[in-house]
Amino acid sequence: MTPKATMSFVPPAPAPWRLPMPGGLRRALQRLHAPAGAAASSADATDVAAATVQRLDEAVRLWTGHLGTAQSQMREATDQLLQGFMQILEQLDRIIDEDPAALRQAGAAARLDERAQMLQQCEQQLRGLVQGFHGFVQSREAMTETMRSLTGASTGLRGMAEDVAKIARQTNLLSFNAAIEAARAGDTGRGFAVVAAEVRRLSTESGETGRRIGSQVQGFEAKMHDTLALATQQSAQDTGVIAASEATIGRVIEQVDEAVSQLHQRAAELSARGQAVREQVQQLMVAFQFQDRVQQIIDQVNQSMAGAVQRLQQAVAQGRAPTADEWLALLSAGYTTGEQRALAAGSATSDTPAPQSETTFF
Amino acid sequence: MAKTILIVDDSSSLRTVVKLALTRAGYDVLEAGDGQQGLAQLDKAAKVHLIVSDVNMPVMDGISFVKQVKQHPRHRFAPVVMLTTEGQDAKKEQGRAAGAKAWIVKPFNPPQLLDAVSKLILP
Repeated sequence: MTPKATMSFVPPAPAPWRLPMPGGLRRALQRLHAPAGAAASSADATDVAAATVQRLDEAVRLWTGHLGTAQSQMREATDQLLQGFMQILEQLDRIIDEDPAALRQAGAAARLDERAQMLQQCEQQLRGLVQGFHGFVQSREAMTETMRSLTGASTGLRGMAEDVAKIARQTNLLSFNAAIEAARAGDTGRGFAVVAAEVRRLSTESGETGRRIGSQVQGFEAKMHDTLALATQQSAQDTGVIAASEATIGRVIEQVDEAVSQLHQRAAELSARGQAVREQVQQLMVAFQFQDRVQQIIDQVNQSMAGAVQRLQQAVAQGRAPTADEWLALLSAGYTTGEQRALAAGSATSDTPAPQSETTFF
Repeated sequence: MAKTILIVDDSSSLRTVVKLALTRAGYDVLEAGDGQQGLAQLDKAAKVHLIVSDVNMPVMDGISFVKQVKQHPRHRFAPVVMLTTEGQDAKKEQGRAAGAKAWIVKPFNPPQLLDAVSKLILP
């Protein structure tokens, strides 16, 4: 995996061992490299070389002390920076609600999504209510239509009652004629006269019943008309109320839609900001590790300087300078980073950045 | 229950960064400043699910530490991830031979470390 850090951080270079040597040391080494006979002929040269190496040793001890001070200060400063960083991070976690515990639960963005879903459910329920209203109106209209058809049926009943009265009148007239014919027949028609009288009585009752039916149907019809008018009026009122309710619900739904949209937008913004903070945190966590890297490079430089002085002291004592290979091996002993090795090999410069990390699985 | 990871590194700032990355991912963390302290932590801990160790440390270096871990009566199966500035193949081979399961060169990116941890950590 490749680190995503984009922060510019240039690790300090290892101590530049190719720096110009102090003049005394250079002269001493030149004498050491001189033909053995010539070097041996001058005891002073050895003394000068030993004294120069001694001065160098003192200088190295001083430099090492300064580097130690710098390392200590850097370590303390880095620890303080890290503590401050962790506190800032803790505050940020609270703001975006993504501390380690909350990460496993719902973050702020997720909770906003929950609220948006809840509002959407409210909207669906309101729409269901509107549908219910429409159903109610349709049911009311169906009932009104049924009443209208009942009113039409009562008109038919009234006609039938009139027919009954008409038949009764005709039957009554017929019974009169029968009575007259019975009278003409004398004694033989007496029984028939009784029957004719009974028919007249029944026809009179039928006529009366027909009139009562007609009257009842008329009353019923009037009530049906009144009820129908009332139902039509209430239906119109209901339609108006429902239309007004529907309009109100429509406005509420629009507001809910807007709120849901804003919540979604807010959730997306929070999520994006949380992601940006996470990436910045990762970059800073990469940057903080360079203190450890610098520390290791300085530790190696310290050890290398001490080893170099010790080797020079041996060289003066033995009257033989270290070879270039010996010297390089001594200075590069204890390298821990790739850039140290690259710099010593001459394939990199002091401002070559540290290599990007990789993972090797075994 | 959160899994436990032991961090062994002589740099307190590096331990802090590693701890930060792991705790934010929900892991519990134990710390040690060198291999010897790491072994002491293992002796005390009931269960360590993974170890993240530096290589260059005083007292006991990371390679020696891994060898000791692999002989530990309770924690010999704990996978070890080496986290070091060393990137040389020869060093990596030493780590592999000692029993390490992965090698990450510092500076690491938190997702990189968490990826290795999630792949190797004991159930």
